[in-house]
Amino acid sequence: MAGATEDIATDLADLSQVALSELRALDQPILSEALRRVVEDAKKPADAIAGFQAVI
Amino acid sequence: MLTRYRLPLQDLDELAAGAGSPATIAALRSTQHSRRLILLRALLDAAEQCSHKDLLAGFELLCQAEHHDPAAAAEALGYPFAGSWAAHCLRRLTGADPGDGSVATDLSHLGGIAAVAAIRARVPFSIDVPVRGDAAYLPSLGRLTAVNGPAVTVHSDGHQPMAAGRPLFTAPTWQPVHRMTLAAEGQSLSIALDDIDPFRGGPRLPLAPRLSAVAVRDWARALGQAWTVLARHHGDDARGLAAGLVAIVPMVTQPGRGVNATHRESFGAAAMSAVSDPVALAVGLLHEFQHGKLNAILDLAQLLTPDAGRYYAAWRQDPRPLSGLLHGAYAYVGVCDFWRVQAGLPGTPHRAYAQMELARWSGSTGRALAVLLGSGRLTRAGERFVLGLRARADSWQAQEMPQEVTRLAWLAATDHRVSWRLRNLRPRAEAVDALARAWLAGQPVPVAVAQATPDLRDGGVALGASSRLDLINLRLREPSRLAMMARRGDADPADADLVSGNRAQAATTYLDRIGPDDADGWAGLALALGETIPALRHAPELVRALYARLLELSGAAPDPRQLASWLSPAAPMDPVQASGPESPSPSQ
Repeated sequence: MAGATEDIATDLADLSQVALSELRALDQPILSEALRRVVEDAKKPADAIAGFQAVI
Repeated sequence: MLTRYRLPLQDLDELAAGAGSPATIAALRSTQHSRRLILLRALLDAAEQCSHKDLLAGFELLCQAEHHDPAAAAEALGYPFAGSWAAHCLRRLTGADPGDGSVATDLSHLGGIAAVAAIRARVPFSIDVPVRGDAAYLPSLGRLTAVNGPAVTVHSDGHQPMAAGRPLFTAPTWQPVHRMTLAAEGQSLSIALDDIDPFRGGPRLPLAPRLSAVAVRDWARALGQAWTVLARHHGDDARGLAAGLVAIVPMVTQPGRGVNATHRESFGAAAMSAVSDPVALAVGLLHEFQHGKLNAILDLAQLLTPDAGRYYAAWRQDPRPLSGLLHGAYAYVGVCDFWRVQAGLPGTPHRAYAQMELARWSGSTGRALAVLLGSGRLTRAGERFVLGLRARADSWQAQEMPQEVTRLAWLAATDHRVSWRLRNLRPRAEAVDALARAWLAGQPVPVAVAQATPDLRDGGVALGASSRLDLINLRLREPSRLAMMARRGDADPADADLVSGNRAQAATTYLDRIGPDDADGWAGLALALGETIPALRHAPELVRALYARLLELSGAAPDPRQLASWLSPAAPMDPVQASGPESPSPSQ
């Protein structure tokens, strides 16, 4: 098992340094992949709510 | 050049082992900003196919606001329901959700979000904010009601936002989002109590309408007390909540029952029923925030690859996919830790309840974790994460509990499990026929036939009430009231006997009334006699199906005890992909 000081690659594009004014024109493979993924997710049957019921 | 986030294993370990530090929660929150931008770009791309000038107008204003004050734009776009709005619109534009009303109105909601950013950034602007019903919404700030037409023009000179010719925030029909700061033990939490955002929950949630002033005061009092519980006894959770929770959505409350929910795209929000019990509200907040954190983790890293299986989960009445099992397990790991701490508080008036909740949920959570670990579907990150959860769960096992608490926890857990089987499993007709023939011929049970895998059919009802569970709680908290209800006939007599420990009498009463369609009675019988007749507990759906078939074939009802005893050599039969609740065993 990897040590706790390491990190792992994620699927999420880091747009923290992207200004909104650049967002529409941004054209990079990492963003294209991210866009493809959110559109595919949007097409799936929604189970958007996780809920629970508690007796109190 | 864009990069992808990297997730420090230390953060993943920390979020499995505990609440997560404020820095880790803040890091999750910042990744959600990127997620929100991706959704917004996807929306802008998808909307090019339709009339979207209002979406563009909103986007341009948002850009202006960010230019003047990046934090103002980030806050407006980061408000939880900007996420559910974007996801809703994207689903509409991709055809996944037909929605209600016009897509254009939904898209132009960005105008309201942008107006909020511009107001906070003190940017002069003018923008049309769409009218839904009779109100124009400025998310996180409030709504202007009693307006006509498709849109209201909101404008500002950079200082005074105006609408319909008057200052917006002092207009008589302006309804602000309630805001409150909760403070205890040097820890504070600033939140919106949002009862107006049009994207604060889907149609499945019983959202509360605009709260009265009295209801808002009640909420403030209850949340203040709940926050005191969290800050005083669950400091790590409180610090995490303070770093990540932004809004609470009030829901309609059923008497004595709370319903809480978290939306996939609304990180930082929790939908909650109003409850007066501060401990219940505290654990509800903690529970929902667990879902929020896991949603944010899952945006970063895939923890499992889905399979086609559906599994038993102790927190739902319907079969769940592995992802649902992971979500529930993560939530209940937090919940169990909460009750473990509560059970150990000196002089607490609800120790027995805390112990029962811990006993009930720790067993169920441990079994869900075992199913996940045995699924072969966890990624490396997922395995590491779930192993971290299991290590946390392993630390609960040394809890000493009174026998009665253990018995009631067993009843609650087993009732759910048995009822789930009766609701969702259907034995195959050919197997039932073969068993019926063997029974009528006086032969021993054909074990392999009895152990055939039943069909899994989603019996629905994701969340539901259980009157027997209500009695279990009453037995724990107010046994004298339960006794009085039983005397007056206000409680089901078999259930009251069962919960009170009179299993033999309960069994007699269940047997007197039982029929093929009485799922509740079969579950009760399994609880009363399942320790001595295992098939009742392990395969109640098979006992019931065979009972019904024999009644049909011979016209006479067999004795369920004899039938279940005959089947019991085939127990344990648990062919669905989840293990049954084997513990803790009842003491009587």
